[in-house]
Amino acid sequence: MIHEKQRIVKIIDEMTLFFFSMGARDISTNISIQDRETVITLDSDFTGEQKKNIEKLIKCMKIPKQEGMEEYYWSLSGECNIDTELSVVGMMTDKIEMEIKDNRIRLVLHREKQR
Amino acid sequence: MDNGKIVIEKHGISNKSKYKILSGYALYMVFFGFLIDKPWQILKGILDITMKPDLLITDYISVGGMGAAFVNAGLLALIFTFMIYMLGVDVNGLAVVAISLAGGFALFGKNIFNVWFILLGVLLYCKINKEPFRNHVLIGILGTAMAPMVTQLMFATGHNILQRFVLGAAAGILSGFILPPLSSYLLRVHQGYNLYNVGFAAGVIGTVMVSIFKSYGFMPENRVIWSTGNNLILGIWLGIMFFSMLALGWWLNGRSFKGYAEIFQYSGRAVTDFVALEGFAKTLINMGILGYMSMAYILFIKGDFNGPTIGGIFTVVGFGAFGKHPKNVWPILAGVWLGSVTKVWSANDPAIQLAALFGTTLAPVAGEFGPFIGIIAGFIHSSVVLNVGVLHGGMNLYNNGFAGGIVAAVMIPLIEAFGRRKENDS
Repeated sequence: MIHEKQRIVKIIDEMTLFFFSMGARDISTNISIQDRETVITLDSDFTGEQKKNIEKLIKCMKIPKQEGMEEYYWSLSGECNIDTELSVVGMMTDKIEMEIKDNRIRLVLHREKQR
Repeated sequence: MDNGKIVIEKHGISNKSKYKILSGYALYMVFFGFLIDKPWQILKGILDITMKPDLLITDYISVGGMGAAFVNAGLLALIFTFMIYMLGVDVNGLAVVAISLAGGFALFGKNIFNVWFILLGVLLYCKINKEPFRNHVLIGILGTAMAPMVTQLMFATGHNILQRFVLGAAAGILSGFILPPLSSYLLRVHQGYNLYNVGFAAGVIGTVMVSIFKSYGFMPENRVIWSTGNNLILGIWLGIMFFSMLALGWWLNGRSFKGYAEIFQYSGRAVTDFVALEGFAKTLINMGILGYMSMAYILFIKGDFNGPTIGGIFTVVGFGAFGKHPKNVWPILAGVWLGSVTKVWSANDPAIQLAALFGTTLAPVAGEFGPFIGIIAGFIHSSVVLNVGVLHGGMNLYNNGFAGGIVAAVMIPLIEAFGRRKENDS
């Protein structure tokens, strides 16, 4: 798969823009490249009632991994400052862990390497 | 928001019933073709369709007869459905789009002969880059928009048959070969606000190719082959099809239309895969409603149901799985119609009928920025689309995708700079 590192950056761009849209002021990101997968951990705060945004996030993260769609659309994520491309992030990841505590959200995105 | 932790494990989409439904609609086209004409008429018609140039606008109903046109369209949709099934492609929104467009455009430009060279080029790209073909096959199917280039070079140039075949095949393979990276890259130009992005890429490729051809004396012809007088029979045929989509969607949705309105919350900007986000049942309901809406527009402007307009209607319906819904489509139709009131053409001129249907490529502009901006987009689009066809000499069937990309690329930065922004953009 070409542009693998750029794709990881795009995932982080998209999620960072999404957290900004929830009023985030404190975001941290970690990338761990392992033998079989890349694990991206994002931790962010948010302000105010964000139930609708969180529901949208969960809906998009449930979208199954779709390599064909990723090949074509990965470059769109993190590009637009008006709308989000969360569904592309959903299509680019295999498993997601999400934890919400008070006004903080922690996401762990697992992206397996193509066999 | 409640505290808590969830783990989302992903599983593949269940495809079996979706493949059956897609195949069913393809067979419906073949069945209709055999109902209309006798087998020998269909065979002769298909030979005419495949051996004659098919630049925009070439209505296969006029070229080969209604039976042959529908059998060609149904067969192509069926072959492509079988192909993606064998490759193990998930039936997502883009797959529905690809099959719908294959069926629709096989009524005016794609046929069972001229599409394969483009796909061969995409396959070659995959082999060289060591990528699975199934990851690019949908883009390849959409890329068959450039199929008229193959036919034009093979059957309408003055060389001997071997030279013409080599020239046509090489142009088709080359176009398919460069399509995957180009189409992905060009998305950034319009940021997904032009839904027919492959059309935009094909327009760019076509423009470069035709410029080279022109340097060697090749002059593409202007043509409008447009059948009329079949509104009753084709209207009934379309009406049954869209009713079946509504009924199937209603049945699969637990015998109700509950939750359908949730589709309206999306702007439609790529990537808005309704199959993945809202499920196949609501998607089918959306497709059926969009089908009736498109038919109503054509009847309202006293237009024609024929190969090209059915292709346009299938495109609106197909993208009902990938971004379009009545709320973001109507402003574009209104904008094109409004343009026909004030400009030098009529709403039912062939190219303007197509501009309205295919102009809904800009539906996300209306979905994101509201109906007023959507009407302006449709208004501008109808002028632009009439002027860009000459660049690719009619060799890109998705001419409206090319024009839509230009319109979006001009409008979006201006709207972002001066226009309304959503509350969450601070």
